[in-house]
Amino acid sequence: MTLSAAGLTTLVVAALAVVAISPFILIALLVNDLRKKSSW
Amino acid sequence: MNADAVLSTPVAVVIVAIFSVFWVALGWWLGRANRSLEDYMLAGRHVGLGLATATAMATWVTSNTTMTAPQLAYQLGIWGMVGYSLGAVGLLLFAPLAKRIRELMPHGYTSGDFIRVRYGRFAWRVFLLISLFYALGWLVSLAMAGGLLVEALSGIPYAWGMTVIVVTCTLYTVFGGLRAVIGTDFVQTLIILAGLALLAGLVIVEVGFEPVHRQLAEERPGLLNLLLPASLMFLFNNLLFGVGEIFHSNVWWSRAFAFGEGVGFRAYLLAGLMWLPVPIVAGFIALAAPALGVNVPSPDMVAPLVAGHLMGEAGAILVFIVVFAALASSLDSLLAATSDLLLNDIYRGHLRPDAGEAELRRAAAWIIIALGALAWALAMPRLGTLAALLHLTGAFVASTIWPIVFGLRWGRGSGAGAASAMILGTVCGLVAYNVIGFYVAALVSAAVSLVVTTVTFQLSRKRFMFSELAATRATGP
Repeated sequence: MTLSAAGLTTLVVAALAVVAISPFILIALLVNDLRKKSSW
Repeated sequence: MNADAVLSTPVAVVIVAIFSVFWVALGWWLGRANRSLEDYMLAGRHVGLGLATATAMATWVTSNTTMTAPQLAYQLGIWGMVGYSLGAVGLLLFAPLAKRIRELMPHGYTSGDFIRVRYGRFAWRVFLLISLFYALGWLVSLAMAGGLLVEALSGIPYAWGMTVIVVTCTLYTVFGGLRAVIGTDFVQTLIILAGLALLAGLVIVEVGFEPVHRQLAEERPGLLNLLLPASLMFLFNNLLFGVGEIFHSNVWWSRAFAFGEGVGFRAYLLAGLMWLPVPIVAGFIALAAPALGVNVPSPDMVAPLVAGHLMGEAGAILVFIVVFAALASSLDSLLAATSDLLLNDIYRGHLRPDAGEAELRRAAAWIIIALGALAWALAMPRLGTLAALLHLTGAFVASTIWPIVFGLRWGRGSGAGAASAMILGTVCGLVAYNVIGFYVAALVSAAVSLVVTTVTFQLSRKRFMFSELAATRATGP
Protein backbone atom coordinates (compact mmCIF):
# COMPACT_ATOMS: atom_id res chain seq x y z
CA MET A 1 0.00 0.00 0.00
CA THR A 2 1.62 3.21 -1.23
CA LEU A 3 0.82 6.84 -0.53
CA SER A 4 -0.44 8.56 -3.68
CA ALA A 5 0.67 11.97 -4.91
CA ALA A 6 -2.74 13.36 -3.89
CA GLY A 7 -2.31 11.90 -0.40
CA LEU A 8 1.12 13.44 -0.04
CA THR A 9 -0.21 16.80 -1.25
CA THR A 10 -3.14 16.78 1.20
CA LEU A 11 -0.93 15.80 4.14
CA VAL A 12 1.71 18.45 3.49
CA VAL A 13 -0.69 21.28 2.58
CA ALA A 14 -2.74 20.72 5.76
CA ALA A 15 0.40 20.64 7.90
CA LEU A 16 1.84 23.72 6.22
CA ALA A 17 -1.38 25.68 6.73
CA VAL A 18 -1.24 25.11 10.50
CA VAL A 19 2.48 25.96 10.67
CA ALA A 20 1.92 29.17 8.70
CA ILE A 21 -0.98 30.42 10.84
CA SER A 22 0.52 29.52 14.24
CA PRO A 23 2.80 32.60 14.61
CA PHE A 24 -0.22 34.89 14.20
CA ILE A 25 -2.17 32.99 16.86
CA LEU A 26 0.77 33.23 19.28
CA ILE A 27 1.17 36.98 18.72
CA ALA A 28 -2.58 37.51 19.25
CA LEU A 29 -2.43 35.53 22.53
CA LEU A 30 0.56 37.54 23.75
CA VAL A 31 -1.10 40.86 22.89
CA ASN A 32 -4.18 39.71 24.80
CA ASP A 33 -2.01 38.80 27.82
CA LEU A 34 -0.25 42.16 27.69
CA ARG A 35 -3.57 44.01 27.55
CA LYS A 36 -4.73 42.11 30.63
CA LYS A 37 -1.27 42.58 32.20
CA SER A 38 -1.03 38.79 32.70
CA SER A 39 2.00 37.93 30.56
CA TRP A 40 4.23 37.19 33.58
CA MET B 1 36.13 21.66 5.81
CA ASN B 2 32.93 20.09 4.50
CA ALA B 3 32.87 20.03 0.70
CA ASP B 4 29.06 20.35 0.72
CA ALA B 5 29.09 23.52 2.85
CA VAL B 6 26.85 26.13 1.24
CA LEU B 7 27.36 29.05 3.60
CA SER B 8 30.61 30.98 3.59
CA THR B 9 32.46 30.91 6.88
CA PRO B 10 32.54 34.72 7.42
CA VAL B 11 28.75 34.96 6.90
CA ALA B 12 28.17 32.10 9.35
CA VAL B 13 30.42 33.74 11.94
CA VAL B 14 28.52 37.04 11.61
CA ILE B 15 25.12 35.31 12.04
CA VAL B 16 26.30 33.35 15.05
CA ALA B 17 27.77 36.49 16.61
CA ILE B 18 24.64 38.61 16.04
CA PHE B 19 22.21 36.02 17.37
CA SER B 20 24.42 35.04 20.29
CA VAL B 21 24.66 38.67 21.45
CA PHE B 22 20.92 39.16 20.86
CA TRP B 23 19.84 36.10 22.88
CA VAL B 24 22.20 36.89 25.75
CA ALA B 25 21.11 40.55 25.85
CA LEU B 26 17.42 39.60 25.70
CA GLY B 27 17.88 37.01 28.43
CA TRP B 28 19.65 39.51 30.66
CA TRP B 29 16.98 42.17 30.02
CA LEU B 30 14.12 39.75 30.80
CA GLY B 31 15.88 38.52 33.92
CA ARG B 32 16.02 42.01 35.48
CA ALA B 33 12.55 41.43 36.94
CA ASN B 34 13.76 38.47 39.02
CA ARG B 35 13.59 39.24 42.73
CA SER B 36 13.42 35.83 44.40
CA LEU B 37 14.46 32.22 43.86
CA GLU B 38 10.87 31.51 42.78
CA ASP B 39 11.15 34.25 40.13
CA TYR B 40 14.44 32.78 38.90
CA MET B 41 13.30 29.15 38.81
CA LEU B 42 9.60 29.53 37.95
CA ALA B 43 9.20 33.02 36.44
CA GLY B 44 7.01 34.09 39.36
CA ARG B 45 4.33 31.38 38.68
CA HIS B 46 2.13 33.77 36.62
CA VAL B 47 3.10 33.11 32.99
CA GLY B 48 0.23 34.02 30.61
CA LEU B 49 -1.26 31.93 27.78
CA GLY B 50 0.71 33.48 24.88
CA LEU B 51 4.15 33.00 26.39
CA ALA B 52 3.12 29.64 27.92
CA THR B 53 1.98 28.19 24.59
CA ALA B 54 5.07 29.48 22.78
CA THR B 55 7.51 28.10 25.34
CA ALA B 56 5.89 24.64 25.36
CA MET B 57 5.90 24.67 21.58
CA ALA B 58 9.47 25.97 21.17
CA THR B 59 10.94 23.60 23.73
CA TRP B 60 9.41 20.60 21.96
CA VAL B 61 10.60 21.88 18.56
CA THR B 62 14.22 20.92 19.02
CA SER B 63 17.05 20.67 16.58
CA ASN B 64 16.01 17.02 16.56
CA THR B 65 12.66 18.10 15.08
CA THR B 66 14.29 20.23 12.43
CA MET B 67 17.16 17.83 11.68
CA THR B 68 16.14 14.33 12.86
CA ALA B 69 12.56 14.52 11.51
CA PRO B 70 13.93 15.10 7.99
CA GLN B 71 16.49 12.35 8.63
CA LEU B 72 13.73 9.93 9.63
CA ALA B 73 11.59 10.94 6.64
CA TYR B 74 14.62 10.26 4.44
CA GLN B 75 15.26 6.86 6.09
CA LEU B 76 11.77 5.61 7.08
CA GLY B 77 9.59 7.54 4.66
CA ILE B 78 6.07 8.84 5.30
CA TRP B 79 5.65 7.02 8.60
CA GLY B 80 9.00 8.39 9.74
CA MET B 81 7.74 11.95 9.62
CA VAL B 82 4.17 11.17 10.68
CA GLY B 83 5.52 9.02 13.51
CA TYR B 84 7.74 11.88 14.63
CA SER B 85 4.75 14.22 14.58
CA LEU B 86 2.97 11.92 17.04
CA GLY B 87 5.41 13.32 19.59
CA ALA B 88 2.68 15.98 19.89
CA VAL B 89 0.48 13.44 21.70
CA GLY B 90 2.74 13.86 24.72
CA LEU B 91 1.96 17.59 24.87
CA LEU B 92 -1.77 16.98 24.35
CA LEU B 93 -1.98 14.31 27.05
CA PHE B 94 0.10 16.39 29.45
CA ALA B 95 -2.51 19.19 29.30
CA PRO B 96 -4.87 17.65 31.89
CA LEU B 97 -1.90 16.50 33.97
CA ALA B 98 -0.48 20.05 34.03
CA LYS B 99 -3.80 21.25 35.43
CA ARG B 100 -3.82 18.51 38.06
CA ILE B 101 -0.16 19.13 38.99
CA ARG B 102 -0.78 22.88 39.47
CA GLU B 103 -3.85 22.15 41.64
CA LEU B 104 -2.22 19.44 43.75
CA MET B 105 1.13 21.19 44.21
CA PRO B 106 0.64 24.99 44.12
CA HIS B 107 4.03 25.45 45.80
CA GLY B 108 5.90 22.62 44.05
CA TYR B 109 9.21 23.15 42.23
CA THR B 110 10.15 19.94 40.42
CA SER B 111 8.87 16.58 39.20
CA GLY B 112 11.18 15.11 41.86
CA ASP B 113 9.06 16.80 44.55
CA PHE B 114 6.06 14.78 43.41
CA ILE B 115 7.84 11.41 43.27
CA ARG B 116 9.47 11.97 46.68
CA VAL B 117 6.26 12.87 48.49
CA ARG B 118 4.07 10.40 46.59
CA TYR B 119 6.37 7.34 46.54
CA GLY B 120 9.16 7.93 49.07
CA ARG B 121 12.92 8.33 48.88
CA PHE B 122 13.96 5.10 47.09
CA ALA B 123 11.60 5.61 44.14
CA TRP B 124 12.63 9.28 44.15
CA ARG B 125 16.30 8.31 43.70
CA VAL B 126 15.50 5.82 40.91
CA PHE B 127 13.45 8.54 39.22
CA LEU B 128 16.25 11.09 39.60
CA LEU B 129 18.75 8.70 37.98
CA ILE B 130 16.43 8.16 35.00
CA SER B 131 15.53 11.82 34.72
CA LEU B 132 19.09 13.11 34.95
CA PHE B 133 20.38 10.51 32.48
CA TYR B 134 17.67 11.53 30.02
CA ALA B 135 18.34 15.24 30.54
CA LEU B 136 22.04 14.77 29.96
CA GLY B 137 21.40 12.61 26.87
CA TRP B 138 19.10 15.27 25.45
CA LEU B 139 21.53 18.07 26.29
CA VAL B 140 24.42 16.26 24.61
CA SER B 141 22.30 15.43 21.55
CA LEU B 142 21.34 19.12 21.24
CA ALA B 143 24.92 20.28 21.61
CA MET B 144 26.02 17.72 19.00
CA ALA B 145 23.24 18.83 16.65
CA GLY B 146 24.49 22.41 16.95
CA GLY B 147 28.03 21.46 16.04
CA LEU B 148 26.90 19.26 13.14
CA LEU B 149 24.67 21.96 11.73
CA VAL B 150 27.33 24.62 11.79
CA GLU B 151 29.83 22.26 10.17
CA ALA B 152 27.37 21.04 7.51
CA LEU B 153 26.35 24.53 6.51
CA SER B 154 29.44 26.62 6.86
CA GLY B 155 32.46 24.38 7.23
CA ILE B 156 33.21 25.87 10.65
CA PRO B 157 34.73 22.98 12.65
CA TYR B 158 32.24 20.99 14.74
CA ALA B 159 33.97 21.83 18.02
CA TRP B 160 33.75 25.60 17.48
CA GLY B 161 30.08 25.68 16.44
CA MET B 162 29.04 23.42 19.28
CA THR B 163 30.99 25.51 21.80
CA VAL B 164 29.43 28.83 20.76
CA ILE B 165 25.87 27.46 20.97
CA VAL B 166 26.35 25.86 24.39
CA VAL B 167 28.08 28.97 25.81
CA THR B 168 25.37 31.33 24.47
CA CYS B 169 22.48 29.33 25.95
CA THR B 170 24.30 28.85 29.25
CA LEU B 171 24.97 32.58 29.57
CA TYR B 172 21.44 33.84 29.03
CA THR B 173 19.94 31.10 31.19
CA VAL B 174 22.32 32.06 34.01
CA PHE B 175 21.49 35.76 33.62
CA GLY B 176 17.73 35.49 33.38
CA GLY B 177 16.55 32.12 34.72
CA LEU B 178 13.18 30.81 33.49
CA ARG B 179 11.97 34.32 32.50
CA ALA B 180 14.83 34.57 30.00
CA VAL B 181 14.11 31.06 28.76
CA ILE B 182 10.39 31.72 28.22
CA GLY B 183 10.89 35.18 26.70
CA THR B 184 13.52 34.02 24.21
CA ASP B 185 11.40 30.92 23.45
CA PHE B 186 8.61 33.18 22.18
CA VAL B 187 10.86 34.93 19.66
CA GLN B 188 12.50 31.63 18.71
CA THR B 189 9.08 30.00 18.06
CA LEU B 190 8.16 32.72 15.60
CA ILE B 191 11.49 32.33 13.78
CA ILE B 192 11.18 28.52 13.59
CA LEU B 193 7.59 28.50 12.31
CA ALA B 194 8.11 31.27 9.78
CA GLY B 195 11.37 29.73 8.52
CA LEU B 196 9.91 26.24 8.11
CA ALA B 197 6.80 27.55 6.35
CA LEU B 198 8.96 29.56 3.97
CA LEU B 199 11.26 26.63 3.14
CA ALA B 200 8.45 24.12 2.61
CA GLY B 201 6.58 26.68 0.51
CA LEU B 202 9.68 27.10 -1.61
CA VAL B 203 10.03 23.32 -2.13
CA ILE B 204 6.40 23.25 -3.34
CA VAL B 205 6.90 26.21 -5.68
CA GLU B 206 10.32 25.20 -7.03
CA VAL B 207 9.87 21.42 -7.22
CA GLY B 208 6.16 20.62 -6.73
CA PHE B 209 4.41 17.60 -5.25
CA GLU B 210 4.22 15.54 -8.43
CA PRO B 211 8.01 15.47 -9.16
CA VAL B 212 8.80 14.78 -5.49
CA HIS B 213 6.33 11.88 -5.47
CA ARG B 214 7.43 10.54 -8.89
CA GLN B 215 11.11 10.57 -8.01
CA LEU B 216 10.47 8.86 -4.68
CA ALA B 217 8.32 6.19 -6.35
CA GLU B 218 11.12 5.50 -8.85
CA GLU B 219 14.22 5.72 -6.67
CA ARG B 220 13.03 4.88 -3.15
CA PRO B 221 9.48 3.41 -3.26
CA GLY B 222 9.86 2.08 0.29
CA LEU B 223 9.57 5.63 1.61
CA LEU B 224 5.99 5.86 0.30
CA ASN B 225 5.00 2.42 1.65
CA LEU B 226 2.29 2.80 4.28
CA LEU B 227 2.77 -0.71 5.63
CA LEU B 228 6.54 -0.74 6.24
CA PRO B 229 6.73 -2.80 9.50
CA ALA B 230 9.76 -0.99 10.96
CA SER B 231 8.12 2.37 10.28
CA LEU B 232 4.86 1.32 11.94
CA MET B 233 6.75 0.13 15.01
CA PHE B 234 8.62 3.42 14.98
CA LEU B 235 5.32 5.31 14.91
CA PHE B 236 4.00 3.72 18.11
CA ASN B 237 7.42 3.74 19.72
CA ASN B 238 7.82 7.44 19.07
CA LEU B 239 4.37 8.14 20.46
CA LEU B 240 5.26 6.43 23.74
CA PHE B 241 8.74 7.94 23.77
CA GLY B 242 7.26 11.42 23.47
CA VAL B 243 4.72 10.74 26.20
CA GLY B 244 7.44 9.39 28.49
CA GLU B 245 9.75 12.32 27.80
CA ILE B 246 7.10 14.89 28.63
CA PHE B 247 5.38 13.13 31.54
CA HIS B 248 8.53 12.66 33.57
CA SER B 249 10.78 15.55 32.60
CA ASN B 250 11.13 18.54 34.83
CA VAL B 251 11.21 20.70 31.70
CA TRP B 252 7.43 20.25 31.50
CA TRP B 253 6.69 20.02 35.22
CA SER B 254 8.51 23.29 35.94
CA ARG B 255 6.33 24.94 33.29
CA ALA B 256 3.20 23.46 34.87
CA PHE B 257 4.31 25.15 38.12
CA ALA B 258 5.27 28.40 36.35
CA PHE B 259 2.13 28.93 34.25
CA GLY B 260 -0.60 31.08 35.81
CA GLU B 261 -3.67 29.49 37.33
CA GLY B 262 -5.88 27.92 34.66
CA VAL B 263 -3.27 28.47 31.91
CA GLY B 264 -1.48 25.07 31.84
CA PHE B 265 -4.27 23.00 30.31
CA ARG B 266 -4.97 25.43 27.44
CA ALA B 267 -1.28 26.15 26.80
CA TYR B 268 -0.25 22.48 26.47
CA LEU B 269 -3.30 21.69 24.32
CA LEU B 270 -2.61 24.56 21.92
CA ALA B 271 1.12 23.83 21.83
CA GLY B 272 0.41 20.17 20.95
CA LEU B 273 -1.92 21.11 18.10
CA MET B 274 0.57 23.62 16.71
CA TRP B 275 3.51 21.20 17.06
CA LEU B 276 1.80 18.25 15.34
CA PRO B 277 2.39 19.45 11.74
CA VAL B 278 5.96 20.71 12.27
CA PRO B 279 7.79 17.37 11.70
CA ILE B 280 5.62 16.71 8.62
CA VAL B 281 6.63 20.04 7.11
CA ALA B 282 10.29 19.50 8.06
CA GLY B 283 10.18 15.89 6.76
CA PHE B 284 8.70 16.94 3.43
CA ILE B 285 11.74 19.17 2.83
CA ALA B 286 13.93 16.05 3.09
CA LEU B 287 11.70 14.03 0.72
CA ALA B 288 12.55 16.56 -1.98
CA ALA B 289 16.22 15.46 -1.93
CA PRO B 290 15.93 12.72 -4.61
CA ALA B 291 13.94 15.02 -6.94
CA LEU B 292 16.57 17.72 -6.54
CA GLY B 293 19.45 15.25 -7.01
CA VAL B 294 21.04 16.37 -3.75
CA ASN B 295 24.01 14.31 -2.62
CA VAL B 296 23.39 13.39 1.05
CA PRO B 297 26.61 12.09 2.66
CA SER B 298 25.00 11.79 6.10
CA PRO B 299 21.19 11.51 6.57
CA ASP B 300 21.11 13.87 9.55
CA MET B 301 22.28 16.68 7.26
CA VAL B 302 19.58 16.21 4.62
CA ALA B 303 17.44 19.28 5.52
CA PRO B 304 20.21 21.90 5.45
CA LEU B 305 21.59 20.39 2.26
CA VAL B 306 18.19 20.57 0.51
CA ALA B 307 17.70 24.18 1.66
CA GLY B 308 21.17 25.12 0.52
CA HIS B 309 20.63 23.45 -2.85
CA LEU B 310 17.28 25.20 -3.29
CA MET B 311 18.08 28.73 -2.15
CA GLY B 312 21.85 28.89 -2.24
CA GLU B 313 23.33 31.08 0.47
CA ALA B 314 19.94 32.58 1.46
CA GLY B 315 18.60 29.07 2.11
CA ALA B 316 21.64 28.16 4.12
CA ILE B 317 21.26 31.34 6.19
CA LEU B 318 17.56 30.64 6.76
CA VAL B 319 18.12 27.04 7.94
CA PHE B 320 21.04 28.20 10.02
CA ILE B 321 18.88 30.77 11.84
CA VAL B 322 15.92 28.36 12.25
CA VAL B 323 18.00 25.54 13.67
CA PHE B 324 19.98 27.91 15.88
CA ALA B 325 16.62 29.12 17.30
CA ALA B 326 15.37 25.53 17.68
CA LEU B 327 18.57 24.52 19.44
CA ALA B 328 18.60 27.50 21.76
CA SER B 329 14.91 27.20 22.68
CA SER B 330 15.38 23.61 23.84
CA LEU B 331 18.88 23.85 25.26
CA ASP B 332 17.97 26.79 27.51
CA SER B 333 14.83 25.03 28.77
CA LEU B 334 16.75 21.88 29.50
CA LEU B 335 19.52 23.76 31.27
CA ALA B 336 17.02 25.65 33.43
CA ALA B 337 14.81 22.67 34.30
CA THR B 338 17.67 20.24 34.91
CA SER B 339 19.48 22.74 37.10
CA ASP B 340 16.20 23.13 39.05
CA LEU B 341 16.17 19.36 39.55
CA LEU B 342 19.82 19.33 40.61
CA LEU B 343 19.32 22.31 42.91
CA ASN B 344 16.06 21.20 44.52
CA ASP B 345 16.45 17.44 44.61
CA ILE B 346 20.21 16.90 44.81
CA TYR B 347 21.75 20.03 46.36
CA ARG B 348 18.89 20.89 48.72
CA GLY B 349 17.36 17.41 48.92
CA HIS B 350 20.55 15.48 49.61
CA LEU B 351 23.46 17.81 50.40
CA ARG B 352 22.30 21.07 51.99
CA PRO B 353 18.76 20.68 53.39
CA ASP B 354 19.11 23.86 55.48
CA ALA B 355 20.38 26.10 52.66
CA GLY B 356 18.80 29.56 52.63
CA GLU B 357 17.37 31.40 49.62
CA ALA B 358 20.53 33.44 48.91
CA GLU B 359 22.70 30.32 48.90
CA LEU B 360 20.25 28.46 46.66
CA ARG B 361 20.10 31.40 44.25
CA ARG B 362 23.91 31.39 43.93
CA ALA B 363 24.01 27.60 43.64
CA ALA B 364 21.38 27.71 40.86
CA ALA B 365 23.65 29.86 38.68
CA TRP B 366 26.70 27.68 39.31
CA ILE B 367 24.74 24.50 38.57
CA ILE B 368 23.62 25.90 35.19
CA ILE B 369 27.25 26.73 34.36
CA ALA B 370 28.47 23.27 35.46
CA LEU B 371 25.73 21.56 33.46
CA GLY B 372 26.60 23.56 30.35
CA ALA B 373 30.27 22.62 30.79
CA LEU B 374 29.42 18.92 31.24
CA ALA B 375 27.23 18.85 28.10
CA TRP B 376 30.01 20.58 26.17
CA ALA B 377 32.65 18.05 27.36
CA LEU B 378 30.45 15.04 26.50
CA ALA B 379 29.49 16.41 23.09
CA MET B 380 33.09 17.15 22.12
CA PRO B 381 34.05 13.54 21.05
CA ARG B 382 31.01 13.48 18.68
CA LEU B 383 29.95 9.95 19.62
CA GLY B 384 27.17 8.17 17.68
CA THR B 385 24.49 9.70 15.49
CA LEU B 386 21.80 12.04 16.80
CA ALA B 387 18.99 9.52 16.40
CA ALA B 388 20.88 6.72 18.16
CA LEU B 389 21.54 8.89 21.19
CA LEU B 390 17.96 10.11 21.23
CA HIS B 391 16.38 6.68 21.06
CA LEU B 392 18.57 5.09 23.71
CA THR B 393 16.94 7.33 26.32
CA GLY B 394 13.49 6.10 25.20
CA ALA B 395 13.99 2.90 27.19
CA PHE B 396 14.48 4.97 30.34
CA VAL B 397 11.77 7.63 30.10
CA ALA B 398 8.90 5.39 28.92
CA SER B 399 9.19 3.42 32.18
CA THR B 400 8.12 6.50 34.18
CA ILE B 401 4.80 7.14 32.37
CA TRP B 402 2.56 4.84 34.39
CA PRO B 403 3.91 5.49 37.91
CA ILE B 404 3.30 9.21 37.23
CA VAL B 405 -0.15 8.85 35.64
CA PHE B 406 -1.42 6.34 38.21
CA GLY B 407 0.20 8.27 41.05
CA LEU B 408 -1.45 11.54 40.07
CA ARG B 409 -4.90 9.96 39.71
CA TRP B 410 -5.25 7.22 42.31
CA GLY B 411 -4.28 7.00 45.96
CA ARG B 412 -3.14 3.37 45.81
CA GLY B 413 0.36 2.17 44.98
CA SER B 414 3.62 1.90 46.85
CA GLY B 415 7.12 3.29 46.46
CA ALA B 416 8.49 -0.22 45.93
CA GLY B 417 5.95 -0.84 43.17
CA ALA B 418 6.74 2.44 41.40
CA ALA B 419 10.50 1.84 41.67
CA SER B 420 10.10 -1.75 40.35
CA ALA B 421 8.05 -0.49 37.38
CA MET B 422 10.74 2.05 36.49
CA ILE B 423 13.67 -0.36 36.93
CA LEU B 424 12.11 -3.38 35.16
CA GLY B 425 10.70 -1.20 32.37
CA THR B 426 14.10 0.37 31.74
CA VAL B 427 16.00 -2.94 31.80
CA CYS B 428 13.56 -4.64 29.39
CA GLY B 429 13.54 -1.56 27.14
CA LEU B 430 17.33 -1.64 26.94
CA VAL B 431 17.33 -5.37 26.13
CA ALA B 432 14.79 -4.73 23.34
CA TYR B 433 16.90 -1.81 22.07
CA ASN B 434 19.90 -4.11 21.69
CA VAL B 435 18.17 -7.30 20.55
CA ILE B 436 15.43 -5.93 18.24
CA GLY B 437 16.13 -2.27 17.44
CA PHE B 438 15.76 1.36 18.53
CA TYR B 439 12.15 1.48 17.34
CA VAL B 440 10.86 -0.81 20.12
CA ALA B 441 12.85 0.41 23.16
CA ALA B 442 10.19 2.81 24.48
CA LEU B 443 7.37 0.44 23.48
CA VAL B 444 8.73 -2.49 25.52
CA SER B 445 9.73 -0.27 28.44
CA ALA B 446 6.24 1.29 28.67
CA ALA B 447 4.51 -2.10 28.34
CA VAL B 448 6.55 -3.72 31.13
CA SER B 449 6.13 -0.65 33.34
CA LEU B 450 2.35 -0.69 32.74
CA VAL B 451 2.06 -4.33 33.82
CA VAL B 452 4.16 -3.83 36.97
CA THR B 453 2.38 -0.56 37.92
CA THR B 454 -1.09 -2.07 37.39
CA VAL B 455 -0.31 -5.18 39.44
CA THR B 456 1.35 -3.28 42.30
CA PHE B 457 -1.49 -0.70 42.42
CA GLN B 458 -4.05 -3.52 42.56
CA LEU B 459 -2.20 -5.34 45.34
CA SER B 460 -1.44 -2.21 47.36
CA ARG B 461 -3.50 -1.53 50.50
CA LYS B 462 -1.92 1.87 51.07
CA ARG B 463 -4.02 5.00 50.47
CA PHE B 464 -2.08 8.15 49.73
CA MET B 465 -3.56 11.44 50.95
CA PHE B 466 -3.19 13.94 48.09
CA SER B 467 -3.34 16.81 50.57
CA GLU B 468 0.27 15.89 51.50
CA LEU B 469 1.38 17.23 48.10
CA ALA B 470 -0.07 20.69 48.75
CA ALA B 471 2.35 21.26 51.60
CA THR B 472 5.40 20.05 49.63
CA ARG B 473 7.50 23.16 50.12
CA ALA B 474 6.37 23.89 53.64
CA THR B 475 7.81 20.63 54.97
CA GLY B 476 10.82 20.35 52.65
CA PRO B 477 12.81 17.20 51.78
